Parts: sequence; structure tokens; C-alpha cells
Amino acid sequence: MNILERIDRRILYLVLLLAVAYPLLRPFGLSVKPGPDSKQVFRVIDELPRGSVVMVSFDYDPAAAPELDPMAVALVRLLFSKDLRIITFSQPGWELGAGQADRILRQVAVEKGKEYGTDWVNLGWRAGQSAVILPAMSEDLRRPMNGVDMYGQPLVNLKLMDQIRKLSDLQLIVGIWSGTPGFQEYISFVYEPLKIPLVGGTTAIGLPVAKPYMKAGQLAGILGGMRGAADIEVLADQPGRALTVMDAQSLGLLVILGFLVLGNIGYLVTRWRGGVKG
Amino acid sequence: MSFSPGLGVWIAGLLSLMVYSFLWRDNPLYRAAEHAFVGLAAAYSVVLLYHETLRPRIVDDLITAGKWQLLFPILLGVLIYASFSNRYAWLARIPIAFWLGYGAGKHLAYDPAVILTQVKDSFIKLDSINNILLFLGIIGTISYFLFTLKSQASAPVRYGRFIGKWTLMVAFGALFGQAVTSRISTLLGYLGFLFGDWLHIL
Repeated sequence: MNILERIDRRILYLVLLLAVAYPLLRPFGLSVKPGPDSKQVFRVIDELPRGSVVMVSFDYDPAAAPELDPMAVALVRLLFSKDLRIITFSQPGWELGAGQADRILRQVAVEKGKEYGTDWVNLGWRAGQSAVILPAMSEDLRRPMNGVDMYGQPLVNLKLMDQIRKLSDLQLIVGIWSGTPGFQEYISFVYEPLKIPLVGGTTAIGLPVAKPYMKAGQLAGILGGMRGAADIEVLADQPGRALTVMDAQSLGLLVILGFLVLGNIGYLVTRWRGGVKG
Repeated sequence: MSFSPGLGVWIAGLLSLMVYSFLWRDNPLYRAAEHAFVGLAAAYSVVLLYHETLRPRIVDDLITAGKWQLLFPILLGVLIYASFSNRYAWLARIPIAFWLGYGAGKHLAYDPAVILTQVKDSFIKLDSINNILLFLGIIGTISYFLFTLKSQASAPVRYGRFIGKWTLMVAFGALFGQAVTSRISTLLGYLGFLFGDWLHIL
């Protein structure tokens, strides 16, 4: 068993890289069956009347983008394909989230033939605290934004903003969250006082934290990481990047599981032989 | 194989490889990418602070629009630097007191609605295995954190702590599993960028 203790970590990295790279390039085509939480998110969005206005909160930055961009793209595609209109915003602290929103909305808007100002608006980001900005937006959406969108255009010139004066004019808030501020701020400052339905997605690591809020009804639905994005792609019948990497994710997790089992066998045998105490 | 003509994609791809080279061992390429990132992040923060906070509040609002009431929060903010002076350090307590008051007020105003909903949701019928496990887990975990009781407390507390410890370990296991999934997702997202957007072989 000493051989298990002497394995160079770089060999483990190489095995993991091969395990995820091969199915990425040559997918096995494992089927993805959407979970109940993802179906719930889809159902909430699917039931909205056409033309409803939804706010999508891009509360993540490039550090979480490899995991959350596919989810954001899948959700925005779903919203646009249901003919819903989108206002994007990023909570204080996620200044780079506004850039993520800009990149993704521009890409999907071209795909779906949507127009800026009529079908979507990017409010951008404002400095401050969510505890101040979100309640202020509940009273007047324009004031905390200084009356302009992310690109400096006056909000009064944008057709979509004619009917949206405050947060309670929205039919739904969809969040893509990777930390703090995130869904807890929306629950505290928007859901509880105004009862605007709230759905969204987090990184996989954030999912166990978010689940109790969904169980209590404070979140109407929650997606977790790349798997959540793949579920939405299946439900919306719009395959994207998340589905292409699902095989690789499954194999990668199996390899890590194998490493964990081997490591523990090595540890237990060494301990049994008296090499390790405790 | 066709390559993306975008210079930005090429720079991002090459920098990614430089960062990943750390997995082999520490090397000058990794260091160069790390230093470039730190420098860019610092410069970006300074520019962002000026454009999003200092210029709109001081130049546009205070000086141009004449909103002189903004002098009060500015003065409050400046007082925090009094902590560098032995003689006037006490002045820094004023903005700290303001900040603490704001924090307490915010929590008192908004948290009860959130927490009480969670508490109410834990009042469940014990009519299924899942609900019984959930109930035992909640009670056990709370009793694990009753530090005011002695370690050799009565049997219910001891059993409660035992259940609480195992509940916490299961929760940490779930968190660890999700953390691994999250990291694999991040790796895959990035490989998607390298193979797809950069090398176009995906």
C-alpha cells in the first residue's frame, strides 16, 4: 500500500484531465433527466404570460463564469423564447456581473431577434449596499440607477422602462448567484416585503445553502451549477454548452470518487499496520 | 483545425495555460500571469472606485449639483482615518458606531421575516421517515451548540448532541460533494472555452 502514498499528485491531475477531456471531445451521449427543482424553475417561467417583464440579476463575476455562464445563457434563451422581456441588474459588489449580463444578453438577443430598449434593458450596477439599493428600487427603479442604464442612456428614452417604475411592477426575479450578496439579500429586501416570486441558480457549492429557502417557499425554484443549466437546456429543448459537458462531469466525478476510495483504503491499511495513529 | 482570430481569446487562452502550468510546479510563466492579474485587478479597482463612487458623488452631485448635504457622510467617512492619530483616534469611533447602528437596524428590520419563515417551516408533521429525520436533525444540531450545558449533561442532551454531530457530518459531506462538483464544473467550463472558443475543436 506504500505505492498509494507515493503517487505523484501530478499523475492524479493528468488522469482527471484525460477523464474530463476525452468525453468532452467524444461525448458518450448519457441521458440527462431533469430533477424536480429544475422542473419547478422551468414551470414558474413557463407559466408567465407572454410579454411579462422579468428581472435577471447577474450576481457573479468571471471567477464563477465557467460554471454559471451556461446557466445564464440557458435561462436567458428560455425567457426570450417565451417572449418575456428582460431587465438585467447586478447587486452592489458584483460590478463585473453587469459585463457578464451585457455579453450574454447581446449574444442571445441576436439569436432570438430581440431589440435593446424594447425587449431588454441592462440597468448595470451601482455602488453601495444591497440593503440600501434594493429597498430603494422597490420604491423607484430609476433613482438608484441615477436615471440611466449601463450605457448611460436615459431610462425615460427606453420603451420597456415605461411600464416598469418599481420592483413590484415585475412579474418575476431570476437570479444567478455565486455568493454574497445573492439570493439571501433578495429574500430579505424584496421577496419578504413585496412577495415577488424569486427563482434562480447558484454554483453547485451554493445549492445546499439555498435548498432550505426553497423548501420554506422563499425561493420558488433553484438550479445548481452546470447540472441545473443542463436540466434547463433539456426542458427548454435548446441544447447548449451545459449538455455537451455532462458526460465529462459524470466521468470526472467518478474518477474523483475512485481517488477518494483508493486514498481511504491506503489510509486504513497503513493505520491497520500501525503506521498512522488517530 | 481553425483558430479564433480574436486577440482577446488568444490572450485569455495563453494566460489560462500559464496559470494551469502551476499544476506541474511553480514557474516563471505562472508568476507572470499571476502578477499581471494582481496588477490589472488593482488598477481596475482604482478606476472603478473613481468612476462609480468618487466622481458621481463628489464631482457630479456635490460640486456640480450643489448637494452640500453629502458633506456629512463624506466627513463621517474621513473620520475613520483618525485612527492613525493617537490623539484623535477616538473620532474613528463615530463612523464605526454609525456603521454598527446601521447593521443592527438592518438586521432587526429585515431578518425576523426571513428567519421566522424558516422556523415555521421546521414545524412539520412527523408522518414520514424524512420528516422524522429532519426533526431529529434540527433538534440534535441545535443541542450540539448548547455550550452553556456541561459536557456530561443529562441523557437527552447527550443523545441530542450525538445526533447533532452526525447530522453536521452528513451536512459537511454534502457540502464537500457539492464543492467537488462545483470545481469540476468550473474546470469543464474553462475547458469548454479552451477547446471551443479558442481552439474550435469542440
